[in-house]
Amino acid sequence: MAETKIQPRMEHGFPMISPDLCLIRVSSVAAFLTCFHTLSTMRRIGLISLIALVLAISGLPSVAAAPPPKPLKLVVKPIMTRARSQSPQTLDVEILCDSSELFQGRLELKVYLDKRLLHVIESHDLAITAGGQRFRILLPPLVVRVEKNKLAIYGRFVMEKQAIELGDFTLNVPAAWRRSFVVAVVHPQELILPPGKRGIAESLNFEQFNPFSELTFNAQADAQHDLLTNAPRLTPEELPVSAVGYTSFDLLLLEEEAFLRLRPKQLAAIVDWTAAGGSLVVTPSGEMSADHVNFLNRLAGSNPEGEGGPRAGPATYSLSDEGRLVIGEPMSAAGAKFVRHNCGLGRVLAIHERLDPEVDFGTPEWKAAVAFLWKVRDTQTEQILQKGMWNFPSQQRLNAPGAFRPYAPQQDELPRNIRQLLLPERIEGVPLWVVVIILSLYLVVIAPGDYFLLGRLNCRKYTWVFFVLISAAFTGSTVMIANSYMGHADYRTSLVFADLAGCEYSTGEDSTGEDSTADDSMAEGLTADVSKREGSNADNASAHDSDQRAKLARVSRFEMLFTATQRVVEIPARNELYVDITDRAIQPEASHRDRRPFAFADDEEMDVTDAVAADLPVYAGLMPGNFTIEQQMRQWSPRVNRRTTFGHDPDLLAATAIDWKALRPDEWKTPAGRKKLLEAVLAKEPAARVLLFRGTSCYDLVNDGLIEIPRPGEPGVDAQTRFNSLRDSPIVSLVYSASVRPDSGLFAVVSQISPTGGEYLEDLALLDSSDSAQWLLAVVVHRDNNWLVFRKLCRGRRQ
Amino acid sequence: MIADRIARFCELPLLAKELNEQAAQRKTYVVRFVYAGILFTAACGMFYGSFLQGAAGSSGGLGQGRQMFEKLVGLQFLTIYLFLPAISCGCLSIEKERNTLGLLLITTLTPWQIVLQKLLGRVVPMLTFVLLSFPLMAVAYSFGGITADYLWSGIVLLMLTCVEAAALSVMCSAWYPTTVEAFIGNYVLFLVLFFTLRAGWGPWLFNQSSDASFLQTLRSLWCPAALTGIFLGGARIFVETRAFVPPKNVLLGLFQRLDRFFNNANANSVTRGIVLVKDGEPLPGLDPVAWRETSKKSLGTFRYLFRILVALELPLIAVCSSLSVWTPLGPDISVVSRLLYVLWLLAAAMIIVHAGSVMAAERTRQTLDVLLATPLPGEQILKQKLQGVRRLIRVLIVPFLTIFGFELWWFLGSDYRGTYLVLSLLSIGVYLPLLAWLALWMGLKVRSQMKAVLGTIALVGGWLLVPRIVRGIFGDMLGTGVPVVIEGLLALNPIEQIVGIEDLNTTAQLVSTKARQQGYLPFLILSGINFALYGLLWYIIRRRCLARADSLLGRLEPPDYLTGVRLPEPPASSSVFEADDDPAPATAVARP
Repeated sequence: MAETKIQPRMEHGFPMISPDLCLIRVSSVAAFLTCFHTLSTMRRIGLISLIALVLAISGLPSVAAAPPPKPLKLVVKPIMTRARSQSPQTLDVEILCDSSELFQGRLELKVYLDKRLLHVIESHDLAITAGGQRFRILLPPLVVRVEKNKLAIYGRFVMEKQAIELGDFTLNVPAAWRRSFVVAVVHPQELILPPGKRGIAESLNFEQFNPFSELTFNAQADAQHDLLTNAPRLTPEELPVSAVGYTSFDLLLLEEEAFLRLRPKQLAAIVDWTAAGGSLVVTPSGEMSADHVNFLNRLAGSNPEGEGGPRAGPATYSLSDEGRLVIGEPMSAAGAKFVRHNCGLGRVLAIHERLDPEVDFGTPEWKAAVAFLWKVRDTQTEQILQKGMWNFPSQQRLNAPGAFRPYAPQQDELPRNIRQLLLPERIEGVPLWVVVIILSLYLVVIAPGDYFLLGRLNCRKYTWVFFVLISAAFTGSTVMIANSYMGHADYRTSLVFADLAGCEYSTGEDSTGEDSTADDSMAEGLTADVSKREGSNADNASAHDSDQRAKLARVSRFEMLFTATQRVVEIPARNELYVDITDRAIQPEASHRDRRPFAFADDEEMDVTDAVAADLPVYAGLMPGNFTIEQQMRQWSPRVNRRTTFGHDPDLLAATAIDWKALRPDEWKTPAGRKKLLEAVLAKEPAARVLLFRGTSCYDLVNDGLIEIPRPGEPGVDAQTRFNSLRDSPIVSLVYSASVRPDSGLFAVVSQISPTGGEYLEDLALLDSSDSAQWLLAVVVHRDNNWLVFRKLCRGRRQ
Repeated sequence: MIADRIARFCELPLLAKELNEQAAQRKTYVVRFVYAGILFTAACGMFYGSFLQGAAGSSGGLGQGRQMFEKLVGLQFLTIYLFLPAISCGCLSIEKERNTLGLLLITTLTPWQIVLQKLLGRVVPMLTFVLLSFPLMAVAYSFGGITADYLWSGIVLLMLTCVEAAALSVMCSAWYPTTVEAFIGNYVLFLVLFFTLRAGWGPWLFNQSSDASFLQTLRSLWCPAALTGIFLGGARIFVETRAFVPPKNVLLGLFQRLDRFFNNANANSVTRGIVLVKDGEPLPGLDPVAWRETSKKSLGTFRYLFRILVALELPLIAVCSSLSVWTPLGPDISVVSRLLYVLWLLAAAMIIVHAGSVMAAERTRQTLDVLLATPLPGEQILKQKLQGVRRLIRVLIVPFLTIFGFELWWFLGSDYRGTYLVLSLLSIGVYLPLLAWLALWMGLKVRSQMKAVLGTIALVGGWLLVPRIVRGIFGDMLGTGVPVVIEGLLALNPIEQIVGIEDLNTTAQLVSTKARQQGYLPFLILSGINFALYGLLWYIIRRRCLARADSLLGRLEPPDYLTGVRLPEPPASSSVFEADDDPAPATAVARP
């Protein structure tokens, strides 16, 4: 008899046994019966149990029931196979219908991380007929701490009288500690890419400067792929028409043909996203429309037309009579193949000539441009130009126990601080001392008091009644005390970071100025030609920048809802990202760590998979278009959410009359200049708090205070203690920690990341503390229950 | 007239006497004070501890009240369901065991009065402890997240649960002739009713009341109220009708009825009464005590144990099969782990009940003296008495092996399967016999069968709770992580070991590559130390029990003529009938 090998196969993760094993089973039973009587009692028990097990396993395939055929089928497909860390995920959702019937209802999508429900999304009312329906949704940012935990979307089509189960789809989302960057390469579908050819996309990856890159290809190292750039290809049609849809990308590459195929709405969205902090590479050439030229001019900051202002200077880009792109004289005179622009808070690289992969991608100019796009810190850019890699400060961690994750998000108290700031002063939990007094009194009354008092009255037999009455009285009075502390009013407070488009100013210093060290000089020497080009380009950009009116590039609104009664609150939203950060604002970082078995020593965060998800916001509608958030509010339970919008918001800007255009960053180095700034702001906003950040210095202009923030690992008094010396220190400390990240982890390399709108608030950072020419002005205005923080980033330009 | 009758009905002299006695004792107040002190300190530590670590102060915990409240109420439900039956199930059965129920029935007290007084006599002390937590619930309310309606609903449900659980216990106590049967019957009946009539019990209603008004919750109380009424009505009937029912082994009776059924079914022309496994020797042979334990006891006889094995294996097979049925998020292997934990619970309970009763039951039935009068050394008596427990352990090992084998098969690709198997086998090889000897030792030390079993359960349960308590102190009260040294010590607790071994394969899949590379040597060392420690403990308990068997059994010093006398060695392989034919050996004891 040929040897039969049992080959378990995985189906729904379950090993199956093929049915042709039946014969073997029969023969086994016969053999068993023959020798059964020769065995001792206990061995018989063992054998019987073994048979039971074998029968059970063999019975499994027959038990496995295929799901019944359904009239509707759901297909959920992410537009990118490999997602960006901590960012929203864009999904293509398709409901297929095989039936001629009409199905009316809502699609309900539930996102599970292992067993924990993360998000509930409900579509608008849908009518599905033969042929089905297809639409796109943006999932709120998903935080996964252990990548191997299954992240799945479970779909149901809920109709009036029944619901059709549509199955589940697995999502591939990188773990939170992993920095998975996305360079979205827009490429028309019909254009075939030459195989093996190294293009711009391949040379844009961030990890090329990673000093730990050798670990990336070392299978033994856990650091592999912890910092990796993916370059998915998207067709021009797949690009979102809403600016917040681009938060799934770090960097967007628009190559010739793909760029030309973009529609005006998409172009507008890309500009808004770039101004809000995104990074864009564009290679314009050939014939194009006026919309495209306008797009390029807006990126270069040279064409305010159409934005409400008159044309102030010559446009950088224009169209020839034949409809071909003409690059303006200042730009082409520099003779550069590519130029860099600061567009709002974002970065743009415009490539004007075809690049030779063999020559151009190895030049210092290209490396500097790539570092520029990734918002690498000033000092690290110099390191990259000199050594080809950045300098990571804590290499000693390689020998530390546990997983080596140098770029993982750092512990962050910012969400907690925001929650604390937004809690109205009136709201104060019952203090511990009050509770201690109540319970101590109760204890005294029910035990010694009861015993001695009733004993003296000679009626101890009534202790049972007395005890019940006393317990009820103390319970009732505690409830009343709680009511008086917490009140019956609802509150809605907010903290708004309104980020104005950045500006450039002349530092008045020579590029080989007094600050430059020998290394700096060498770096400047290596990049002398690119600096020259940059100078001319920057001149060009800033000349137009000053002509523009102040505009908001992005708004990050943190809102705290606090109700005195239990009810469902509906929050309408449109073209924005919404994420609930209550858990993050309440729980300390440590609580995200599940207690795990002691089998493996590991220091990584684990997903809290067993926790019961309660009161999750329900997204009704399709984000980021028109949608409503239904939030179950509990009595006296503050909920904090983050809402992110990109683009100009005139209403919000009009909340203050400050003339942002009149501010002169080039004067802020001197006390007189700062005084002038303060006067200019206070003239319009007398109650404003004016904060100015540069490097590690924090100027509190109203109180004439200066704090030097220590760098991580530096000895001395910590930052919080220094902030405590200021009046109203919480808001100052909060604005600083939101705007300037300590140079550790990924932020030891970069000063800013493209916006995510997620619960990790890293994307709020703006200032490069290693660049002494950068200033961040923050004007804090308190209106009713709302804090408005206007931030303006000013980048210095050496002559 | 009616008023007089009502007044007389409400006199409740037994209850009044019991409560007055308790009220007069200082101990009542001291216990109340100490319990409340510990409860309040622990709860305040948990409520405020972690929040006060940050700068947020008391407002840092806003919104967390719901979590606290639900934990607190959940804990109270658990306490009620766990302890109230233990306290209440003997209220009438003890009277029956002492033959005093008849006396009670011939007094002027009506059956209703007896039932109500017995009920309230148990409910009042329990309610005292439940009431102590009410101010704490109000503190939780002050943290937000719960409405006042939810708070009052929780309070009412807890009180009703107390009465309902006690009513069930009184009914069981009225039905069963012995306290042990009432105890087991009470828990079994409760579990059956709890999972079949969910709407009739507090926890389910409490979940429903989360978003309901207080009035709605009150309206939904009809079901538990009706159940309570049925239990009390049952108790009222049984207290009279089953007042003089002689005690009998219910489990054994059930098995014997099954025997009769299977024997009848087997007596047909096809099977012709063939018995696959004959049930041991028909006569005592050389180990009479062991023979009795393995032939005449429900938890020692092979065919009965086999039925228990089937009852344990069937759910296992059902659960393993269910993993192949399509579920929204794919098969969940943790179900098997949960089943393993349930199996551990059942196995521990069965071993403790059986091993804790072997000697205590002899004492209760007043047959221990007869046993001690036999010419068997104490050591032999204990070893033979444990024969049935050993057989039970062997049967219990089968479902354990089923789960281990299944997981071994499931995690085909795991590198840790071998380690998992070895450690799992060690766990059942060490913990199960240790439990048996510990329960036996308690049974020898404690006079009452009930106290021996409950004492062992409390000891084991308390020890297993230590890691949770320590983690609670560090995490919730101090707001810090548990130091590595303490974690190492906690890892020596069996519950940590069992969970750690069970999760070995899944954890290995989740942890980082570097952690895997660093290996799990510390885990193996800790596991090794753990098994060595508990193995040593097993050896020590066993040795102490055997070495001091006679004194533990309460046997007097042997008379002089027995000192140094060796009992006759029976022939090794001959049957008892042949042995009887042999002349008496020369070393036979000659009485003076």
